[in-house]
Amino acid sequence: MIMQTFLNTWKNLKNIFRSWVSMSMLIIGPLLIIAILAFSFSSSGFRNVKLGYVNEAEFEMDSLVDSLSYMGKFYPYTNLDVCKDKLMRQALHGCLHIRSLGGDRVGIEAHFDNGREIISLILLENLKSAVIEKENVIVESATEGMLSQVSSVALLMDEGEALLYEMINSLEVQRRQLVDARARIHDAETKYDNALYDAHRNYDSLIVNSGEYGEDAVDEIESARTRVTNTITMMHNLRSTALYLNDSYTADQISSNINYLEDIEDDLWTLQYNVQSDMGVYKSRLGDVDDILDDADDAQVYFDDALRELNTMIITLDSRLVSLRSTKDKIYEQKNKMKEVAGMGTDALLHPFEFEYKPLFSGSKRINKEITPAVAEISEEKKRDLINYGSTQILFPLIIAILVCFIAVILSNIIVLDEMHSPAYFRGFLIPAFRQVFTASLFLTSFVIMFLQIGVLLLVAHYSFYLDVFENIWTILPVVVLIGVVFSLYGMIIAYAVKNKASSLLVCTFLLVITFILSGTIFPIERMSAFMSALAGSLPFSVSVSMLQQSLFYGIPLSQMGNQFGLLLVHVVFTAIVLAIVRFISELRKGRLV
Amino acid sequence: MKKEAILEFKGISKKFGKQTVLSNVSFSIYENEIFGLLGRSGAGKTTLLHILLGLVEEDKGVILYKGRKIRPNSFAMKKKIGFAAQDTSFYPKLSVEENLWYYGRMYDVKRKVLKERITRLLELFSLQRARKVSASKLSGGMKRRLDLAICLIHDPDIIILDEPTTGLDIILSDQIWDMIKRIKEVGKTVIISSHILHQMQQHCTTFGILDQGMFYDHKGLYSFAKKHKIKSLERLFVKFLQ
Ligand SMILES: Nc1ncnc2c1ncn2[C@@H]1O[C@H](COP(=O)(O)OP(=O)(O)O)[C@@H](O)[C@H]1O
Ligand SMILES: [Mg+2]
Repeated sequence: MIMQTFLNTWKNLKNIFRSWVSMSMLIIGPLLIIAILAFSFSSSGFRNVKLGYVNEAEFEMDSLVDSLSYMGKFYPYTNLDVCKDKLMRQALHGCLHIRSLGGDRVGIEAHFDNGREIISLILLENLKSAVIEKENVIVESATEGMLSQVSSVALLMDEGEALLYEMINSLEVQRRQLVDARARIHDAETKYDNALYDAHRNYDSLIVNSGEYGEDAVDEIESARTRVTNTITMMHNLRSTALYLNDSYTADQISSNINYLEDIEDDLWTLQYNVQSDMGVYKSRLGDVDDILDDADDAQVYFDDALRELNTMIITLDSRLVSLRSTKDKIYEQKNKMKEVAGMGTDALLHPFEFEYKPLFSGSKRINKEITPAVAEISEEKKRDLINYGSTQILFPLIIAILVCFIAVILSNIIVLDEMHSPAYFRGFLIPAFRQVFTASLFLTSFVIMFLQIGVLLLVAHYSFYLDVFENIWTILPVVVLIGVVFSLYGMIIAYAVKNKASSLLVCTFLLVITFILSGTIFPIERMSAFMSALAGSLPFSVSVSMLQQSLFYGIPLSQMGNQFGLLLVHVVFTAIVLAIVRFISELRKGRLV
Repeated sequence: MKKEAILEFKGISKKFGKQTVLSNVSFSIYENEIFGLLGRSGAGKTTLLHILLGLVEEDKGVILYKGRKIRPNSFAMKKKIGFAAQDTSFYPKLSVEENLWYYGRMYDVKRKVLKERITRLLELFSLQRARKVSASKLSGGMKRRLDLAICLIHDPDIIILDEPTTGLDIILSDQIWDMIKRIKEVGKTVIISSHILHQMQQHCTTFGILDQGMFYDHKGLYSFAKKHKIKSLERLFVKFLQ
């Protein structure tokens, strides 16, 4: 029995390995998937991530942007709504709303599209840690700032102290100088007073004496005396003459006259002497007055000097006042800063940022309408269910796309294979009809079935999950149909290329697996390597998921997703061409020319 | 009176890779004949028929239809030929009538004409009672009759049957030959390939043998038979191929 089991296993293995498709799918398939995985996820960076910010806090963004530059590019916006609109259209990955919360505290509202859940969560995580890092830097620098404030206050106090010491010293010196000056002024004052008194007295006596003699009194007296002496001489001659003449009387007469004249001469001598000495006293008095006047001049100089010294003292005092005032201002400023810091509170000091996550999508309009109290006569339980739906709604674009792709690939593959393996397939070659007619009708067949299933899916999404399907039906339907068409064509291509049913299904499964790997649902496209990111981003699955997210969550119309829609159309055309080629080769291979 | 050849093969050659299947095959088939194409398994009978049907492209040679060179692959030619392969070929999930209707419409038969023709064919092949039955539920003989009916649905001039009785029991084979005779009676030309010689001897009006790429027509065969005094085709066949 064991032998039989092994024998069968051996036979089965042979069977499998002799079909090149199964073999390549079994061996190359997993390797291919691993290679794609390795190639896609070899890089750790981000691709094409764009973040907008609205800075209402005059917040210095540079360092935050710098520390997040590995994640993507930052674009400033002036209006949050504009930024959020871009976010809805998936032109941005997030919007940061930066507001001032008073003081140095800054509020960061991170608006992210929770519809694109995985990449949003990753970006949010990175953003958060960058903010915390930045916060730490700010706290550190704030602490450093405080410490430097404290030390600058200490420095200021040192400065003030030195200044006050200097002031005291200079004030003491100035006081001494002032006392000195006062003494000297006092001195000068007394001197001046005395001199003035003397001057007055001398002046008075001068006034008194000056009335007795004229300026030439001495000369007059002398000439008078000379005339008297001459007369005496003349008289002596006269008496000699008289004697000679023996006129004794006359001689006697003359002698008595001579005696008289000689008395007068003596008197005149005395008078001349007196007048002369009186004149000397007067002159010395005049000199005294001159001296006094000189003294007065000296005193004036003293006064001037003293005044000048006082002026310098005032200037010095003024400059001291200026530096004192500036020191006072500095101390005031520092005091205020310290008061601010003291008033900040520990929390604001340790958490300068208030970080808040704002998911962009908060449930469909229909759910929100149901929940609003105006309409609401709904029970709490129902309300809870509805809110719960709101969070599951995020998955719907993905679910719809996955189901459509699954259905489309497998269905079209099976339909084509069924036809090819049908006994009637052969007769098809005899019928006068183009082969394309059969291919087209096979496509239409799978399309009709797919369309019905899409319809059911959308109805369920609308009625059971409260998504805004009907409101956006003219966006959702074309997108869903196009992605369905593309994947139907994939399924048909696989069927024509791999005719064995099991192998064909295996290839379909691999295709779906690869699609999901590159869809960004398992691993965000933004984190893939550059080439794979570009490739994955333009694959029909990710494009249609993106379009469904935009329209289902935010009601963005098809007309505003022209590029993506165009890309889907390109995929349809391209895949159709590939199908035509593969179908042609496949039917040629049998040795038949159709 | 020399009858006009409805089909003429001239110098048809075909190789699959290095294997020569047909080499310079030339012969004619005349109107309202039942032409028997004989040959061992793998002699190239199907290949020759497929060339006529445009399913396989010949390497060399031409085919004339009523004296005119034709492209077997053309829609005009396809409309003139009805073919039934060894395996029946129709949609098992469709009913007998649905199959006939589908193929009739695919051959662009007008609805009115088609309706009448289906009734006639159902009658001809005794399928009236099974008209609503899904094709997969038919018995082996009925399936073959349905295949023949489909082969006639567009009223072709030439009916080609590739081993129509191979694998069938005697009773079913007889039924089929009965049908073939009826088809001939309507004025069609029938080409049948087979290796069941006694049936061919019994029903065919003309023969040809394919062997190792060469074709031998019935004149050659008759003279060969006379020379060797062979009466049964089977004997002739074995002797000839030696
Ligand atoms: N599409 C093909 N490719 C390669 N060889 C073929 C092909 N069709 C037929 N053959 C070969 O051509 C030969 C003739 O086959 P066939 O015409 O089917 O013979 P018959 O119908 O007389 O039994 C066979 O040996 C077969 O292997
Ligand atoms: Mg054959």
